[in-house]
Amino acid sequence: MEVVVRDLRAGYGRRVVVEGVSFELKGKEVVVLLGPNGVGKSTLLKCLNRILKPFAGTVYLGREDLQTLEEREVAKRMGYVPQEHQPPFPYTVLEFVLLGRAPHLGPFSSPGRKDVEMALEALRLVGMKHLAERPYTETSGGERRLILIARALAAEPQILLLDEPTAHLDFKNTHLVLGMLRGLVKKKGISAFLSLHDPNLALRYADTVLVLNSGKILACGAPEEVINEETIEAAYGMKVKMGRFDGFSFVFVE
Amino acid sequence: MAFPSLAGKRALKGSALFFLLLSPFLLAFLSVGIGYLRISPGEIFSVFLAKLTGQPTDRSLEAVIFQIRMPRIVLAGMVGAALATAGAVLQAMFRNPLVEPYLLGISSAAAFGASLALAFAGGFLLQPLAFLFGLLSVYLAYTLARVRGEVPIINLVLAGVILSALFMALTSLVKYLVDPHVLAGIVYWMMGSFSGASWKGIGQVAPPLIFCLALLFLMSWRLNVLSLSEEEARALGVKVARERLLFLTLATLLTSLSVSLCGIIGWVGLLVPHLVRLAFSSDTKLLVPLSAFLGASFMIAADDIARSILSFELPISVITTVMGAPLFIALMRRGASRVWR
Repeated sequence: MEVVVRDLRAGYGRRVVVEGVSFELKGKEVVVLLGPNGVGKSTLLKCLNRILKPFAGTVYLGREDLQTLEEREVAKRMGYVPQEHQPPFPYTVLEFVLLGRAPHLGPFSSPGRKDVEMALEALRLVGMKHLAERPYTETSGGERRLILIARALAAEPQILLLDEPTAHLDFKNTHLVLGMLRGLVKKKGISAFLSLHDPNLALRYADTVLVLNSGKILACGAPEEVINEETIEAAYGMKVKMGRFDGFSFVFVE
Repeated sequence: MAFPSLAGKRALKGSALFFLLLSPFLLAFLSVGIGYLRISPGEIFSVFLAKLTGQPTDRSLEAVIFQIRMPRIVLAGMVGAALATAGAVLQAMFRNPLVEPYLLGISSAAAFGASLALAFAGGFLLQPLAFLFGLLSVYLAYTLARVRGEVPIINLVLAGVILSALFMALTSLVKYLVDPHVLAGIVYWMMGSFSGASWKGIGQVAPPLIFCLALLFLMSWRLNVLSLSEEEARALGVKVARERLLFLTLATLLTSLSVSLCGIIGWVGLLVPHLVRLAFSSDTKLLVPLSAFLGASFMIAADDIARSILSFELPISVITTVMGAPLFIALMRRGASRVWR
């Protein structure tokens, strides 16, 4: 499903973090948001599913204006994977993933057999079904990230929003999570919209890259076009060089 | 990887669950026989049977069972269920397992209301005043915590701490000003007791109490979602502010009703949800109703001890705390880390 963002202005209290942001995405792709710390990546992501209300601007999902949709309807369409997360109680992994069904359930209902099956299917998709009965608090960082993705998937969204899904992950888990995510996007025909810190990961896994700098869009397009010495230097204020090896482009620092 | 012990564990949990659901009724039946006048289960049974079939029974025995002990046991069960449920709800909502139902100042505000009634009205309107001040405290906490249309949890907790301290100071002032006879009444009320139980009183509070409990049971799964961070709950399509207010109101009603009936009884609302989480599940769908059942049993048992261990009655709060503290220590020493994080 396409996403169209027009003239978005957002922030916290009186502080404006993101301003004049407009872009269009065609859907069924992995979109990576790049940019230095504090530039407004999380703010932008949170505006997309309206857990942060923008000061101005519109977000269209297909033909629907998000502002006209109920919270529940937005949540059915957009699954959110938060950055930091520490549950206070030791839910089992299955109980935890079942919470992802909330947008489909009213305040007085609780999940039934169908919901349990969908939660298990979501766990299977991320390869974590064997942990279903384990306490969520006793899983590792990499497993937790995948379980959070499963929770978002359980609502059967058309778009996944992920706030730095590779934060605090080791080298292997970083590639495991991103590889899994790319596979899901292609297999289920959904979109993923995620923020990352490493341009090389964007080169490897993105279909489209958005580069954000001081609250504005600096560049938007295919990774090979967008990620170059000039853009990276403009975004991060540091000199880099591009290289090529075995058909892959990469960014490195001399 | 399969868990070989899972089937066995489930069977064990199943039988524990069965026993837990049965326990308040079993305990209530046995408790009828406990007190200054001992009555054996056989005698209780025959009096019940005679009453049902309309045959004449021992008048004094009947009065002890139906007019003195049963209202008291029923009240203890209801209050235990109410406090434990309120505790379970607030712990999940505040995302903190150390929260108790009195968090937002209900106990000290109710104590202030009760002390006003005892000091200046000879105990007239004690229950309504305790109830209203309990509600007032939570209302004030909620209003004070509200900034720009949002009610951050941390603000609520802070407002609760402030109001608790304020009402406690006001109660101290009343205690300081009144004569020793009234002072004793205030102190006694604050330690809690079921001695005022009557069918008439139960008839008045049972409908709202049962209504709140039923509504909370119905919404119990939803509480899981509210125990996530506000941002996550909102991303799952929950109207966080509205649903929080609903849960908070119901828990407050339960607590304030309990406090107005029998004074301040500590530990039940804190301890019982912990026991349920450790033995069964953190899933609020189970946690909320099971806390109600265990809370009822716990309170009935505590009241049995309060009225039978010595020749005179002990304050119930002393019993719940003396029972609760070792249990809590045991929880802390083994496996608490699993429940707390």
